[in-house]
Amino acid sequence: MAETKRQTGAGQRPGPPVLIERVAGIGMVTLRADLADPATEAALKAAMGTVVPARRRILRSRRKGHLTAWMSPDELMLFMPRERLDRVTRSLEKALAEHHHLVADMSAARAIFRLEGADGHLREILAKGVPADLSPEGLPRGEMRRTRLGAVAAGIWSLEEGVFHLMCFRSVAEHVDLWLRTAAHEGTEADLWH
Amino acid sequence: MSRRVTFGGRLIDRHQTMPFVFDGERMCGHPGDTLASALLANGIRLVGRSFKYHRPRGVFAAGIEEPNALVTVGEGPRATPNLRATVVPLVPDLAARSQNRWPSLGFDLGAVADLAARFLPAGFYYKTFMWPRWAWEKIYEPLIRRAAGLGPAPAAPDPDHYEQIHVEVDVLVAGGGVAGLMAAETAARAGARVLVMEAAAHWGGRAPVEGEEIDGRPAEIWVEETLARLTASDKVTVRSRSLVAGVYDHGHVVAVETLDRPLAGGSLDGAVLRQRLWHIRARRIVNACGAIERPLVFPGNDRPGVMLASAVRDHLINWGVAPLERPVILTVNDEGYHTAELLLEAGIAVAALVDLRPKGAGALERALRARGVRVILGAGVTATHGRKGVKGVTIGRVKTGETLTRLACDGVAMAGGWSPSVHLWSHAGGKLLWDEAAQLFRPDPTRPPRGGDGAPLVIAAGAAAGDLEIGAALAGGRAAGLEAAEALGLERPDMPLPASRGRPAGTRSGDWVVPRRAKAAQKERMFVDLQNDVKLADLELAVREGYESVEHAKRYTTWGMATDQAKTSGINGLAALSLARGAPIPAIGTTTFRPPFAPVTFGAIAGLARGPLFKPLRKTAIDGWHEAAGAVWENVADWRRPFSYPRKGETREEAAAREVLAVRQKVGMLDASTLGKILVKGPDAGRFLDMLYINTMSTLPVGRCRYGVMLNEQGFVIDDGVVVRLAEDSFLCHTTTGGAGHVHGWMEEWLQTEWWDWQVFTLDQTEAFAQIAVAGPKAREVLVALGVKGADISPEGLPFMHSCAAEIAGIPGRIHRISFSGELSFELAVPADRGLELWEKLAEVGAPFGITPYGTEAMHILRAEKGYIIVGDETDGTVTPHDLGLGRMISKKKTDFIGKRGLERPFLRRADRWRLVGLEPVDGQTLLPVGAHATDHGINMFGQRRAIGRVTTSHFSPTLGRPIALGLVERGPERLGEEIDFLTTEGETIRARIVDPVFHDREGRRLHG
Repeated sequence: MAETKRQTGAGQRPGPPVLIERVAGIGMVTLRADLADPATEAALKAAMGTVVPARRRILRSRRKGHLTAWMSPDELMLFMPRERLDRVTRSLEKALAEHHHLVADMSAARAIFRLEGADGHLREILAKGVPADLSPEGLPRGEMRRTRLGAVAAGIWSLEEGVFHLMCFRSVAEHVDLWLRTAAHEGTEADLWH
Repeated sequence: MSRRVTFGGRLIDRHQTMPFVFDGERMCGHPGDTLASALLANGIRLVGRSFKYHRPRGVFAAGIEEPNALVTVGEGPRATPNLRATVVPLVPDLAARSQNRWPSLGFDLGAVADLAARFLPAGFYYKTFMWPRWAWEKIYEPLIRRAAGLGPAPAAPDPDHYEQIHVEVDVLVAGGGVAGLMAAETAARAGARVLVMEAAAHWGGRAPVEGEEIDGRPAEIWVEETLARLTASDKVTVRSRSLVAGVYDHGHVVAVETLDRPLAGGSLDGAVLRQRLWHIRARRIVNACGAIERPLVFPGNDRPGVMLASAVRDHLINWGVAPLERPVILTVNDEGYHTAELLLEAGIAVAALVDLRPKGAGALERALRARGVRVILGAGVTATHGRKGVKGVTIGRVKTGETLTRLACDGVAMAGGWSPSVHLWSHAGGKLLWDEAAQLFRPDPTRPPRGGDGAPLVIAAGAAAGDLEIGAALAGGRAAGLEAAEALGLERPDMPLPASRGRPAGTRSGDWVVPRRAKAAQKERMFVDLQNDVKLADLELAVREGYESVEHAKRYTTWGMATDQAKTSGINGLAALSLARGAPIPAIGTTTFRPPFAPVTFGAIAGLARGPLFKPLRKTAIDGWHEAAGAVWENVADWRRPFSYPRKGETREEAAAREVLAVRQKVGMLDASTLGKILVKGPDAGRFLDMLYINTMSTLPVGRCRYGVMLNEQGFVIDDGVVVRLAEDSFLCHTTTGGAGHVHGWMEEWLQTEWWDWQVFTLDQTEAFAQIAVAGPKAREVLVALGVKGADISPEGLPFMHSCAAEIAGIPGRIHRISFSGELSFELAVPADRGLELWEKLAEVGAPFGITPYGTEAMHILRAEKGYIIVGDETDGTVTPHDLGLGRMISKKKTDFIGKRGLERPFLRRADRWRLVGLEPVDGQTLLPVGAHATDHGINMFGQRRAIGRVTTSHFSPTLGRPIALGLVERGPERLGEEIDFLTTEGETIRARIVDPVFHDREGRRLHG
């Protein structure tokens, strides 16, 4: 993607500005294991510094850039700075060696977009393609929603006011980029959530 | 002539004018006008021609129910056909056209259809155009379609913008009249998240028009104040110009918001955001869409000038327009009298008031007579006069039709009672009750549509519930809000019911048709459905011909179909059937109300999914390189892959042939990233894969590869690919490009439903890796030049069907010695984000060796020369491994695998099944068409020639210099050397010889090189 950053809101009738950018350099590790097993919890604490998240939650670790997200009853997605990836996977492999598990580097499989702007405005941009409830009640801070955006699979979360992240498969990143920019086009505000 | 008056006009701004164009003529209206009110203000009565008979038609209603004034708005690609002029807001320079007329609206040649109307009854097309059969499609249908129909669809893509949005709410209120607003405020006060949608641009429904009072003040003030409170509440979202179009199961509601907002800047510069389609998930829905006034049925009741009385009042009060200047008022209740009073107040003459009730209206009647209006009781209109608009009417007795008098007038304002808009109640299955006294169907609260929780989903309120008086409407709105709040588990709010004053509904006549005993000729001019040109005679004919069921009569006559959806025509059609069958209306039943309530544009339905966003296109990490290299594309599942890389002057096929020879003679490189790659890990992984594949995977040594075939339970091939054992407990399963998602789902389904106690985890890693095949005699030299660390890639170090981890050109990855080309081949897998880097390095270091990128077509030819199958080419869901000559792969040792029992069925083991063979045209030059069937002597039970095989793959082989093909042929492998005939679609015969499917390097020496 040649263009990864663009500021909208430069027209005649300025709408709320939105920053849409594709984020690089994030390591992603899929962990499949028995999430109720104390060994998993211990391995996760050691490798990521978080507990096992509750259903649909995404937890921020004290370690910079480390996030643990619940994907399914036996699957987590771990985010960390790319340079920390080997450390995390080695730590997990070692801790879970005696337990049935799967750890895999999935960093290159997905693209991550970061959206920054007015919180309600970001929610409605995403709601143009996401069938799930994206109102502040429907998608509270710290929850990751696995859903779809238009016709492609997507995971969406927000950890702080005015910032949302979206992950999708790498092969459709260009499609998602164009989709987001079209949905965020100035003048198409729905003014749903202020 | 209709005209603008100084009276009324609460919705328009008289200080500003707004130009617009109708049928090429420039006119002026005011901001706030609808197209219909602006046309009427300009004296335009004739606005369209009817659907079937091309009869002149004028504005009939003042809202969404309009059946006549259907126009095309906008020009060229922006044209939108079939819009109701009554709900099109006037915007500057709006351009509208009448429809269904040629050459002009005033002089329409199609009107000959009206002269022949007697010969075009219901079912005419079905009966007449039966013979000859072929002519229907070629002659009759195109002709009929040109003669009858609505506005034409634009020929070019719509340049404007549409989008969609998804929201969840506790309560959706459809309709912003007093009942809806009351319901919304009640629910919001209880703490519910509420969305209120009003189809019109203005709020309050009919209450402000009817001069009703709430809390001692005009209803309009209460509406404004309530709306302001709702707008200020952060629990409530209000939207006008938003039509709730359909209620579906589980509280899924579709609504369309019309915005017409010009966009500037960015990629949509110059486009207009026309509409936004809302997908609403509502826990409770309040249907407060009001009611539609019922027309009366009498001869000539479709002429321009015949209108609903409510529409006359609407146009006067809302838009300051007198649609009629000297109307006859025809009424079954007291509303005709109120209409007359209003007209007089506005300074408009009333030709007469004709009341179908013999007893009249007491004080109202006396008051009207006192003002000099002629009142005729127990009578109705028995004829209208004037070709393009009413110039006079004949008044006759209701019962007999006996003529009483003839009156000059310019129209008829009909007050025929009300029909609640039950559509949204009925879409998801709500049932109705017949109210004999009010002559209307109202929602039956004991049989509501139910949501996913089994509880009532829709609550009706106000006129939509049959409560026509303002007090009842407010109370109904409040009750609906309370019911919704209670159902949501919210505390009952303190919500006082405001005092109100309006007109009593009064009693009505049961009559709806004049004369009751109409002659046959009269029935040919008594319209029940104006939009679809269905007359009383048509419905009677349908019953006579046996179409007694209401649904059959509807389809036979087209009554209430298409965009009308029984708005003005519904109840009169039922009454007509009731009359014809001699059964009461409730015994007739109702037709099914289908969404959308009013038409929805295709633009809104498509939303963002158009142009480049129509369908997601999956691209590999190397896609940009292919594009820059001039690749021509082939879509494979959702991916785009290079078909070939044509050089200047080359066709795509010539390029593919060159690429094939490069692989055979030197070396080629293929972007194989789209292949599915599923990681299967766990103590039971081997056992699991043994169940999934026909062969045994658990015995595969670590670092080795094995080709596997997967079946469904029936024993048919569903996927294939190479399995690599990465470690004792982990396997990498390659799948076909199109099969990756399905195979992963297939694995999870078996693990989650059948073998949930097996310790196996799967992960679809397709997107994580880029995979590049380097194939050809010089492949190893290229790899050596590229630099491989941590692995021995010599023939002994990494033999065929081995795999190892390695650092490839400095990138960590794996090398699989697998081949789909029959050549010495290495497939290099690296993290996807480094795929382009590896590809570029390969191109660079491979250049001295003549490395050539090749596409899917070369890949297909290479594999065809080797007789390798492709799932989806050689298989079609009915092909077994035995058919493909892969029976030897089936493990005899395994006690079970998916498809084992299916394969045991005798039918699948028959010797005469079609099996894989190679095919060579006997003349050595004719290409067999893919899909061509081979025929044998004799005919089958259908009298067709007996098919004995078909071509599944066919290419010109650049390697062999002649055409080759693969096919499935009856007893094929037993018939090597035999010649059979294949038929082409042109009727020619191509003779081909049955040969071994492996055309090239049968011993596989090159592969092992």
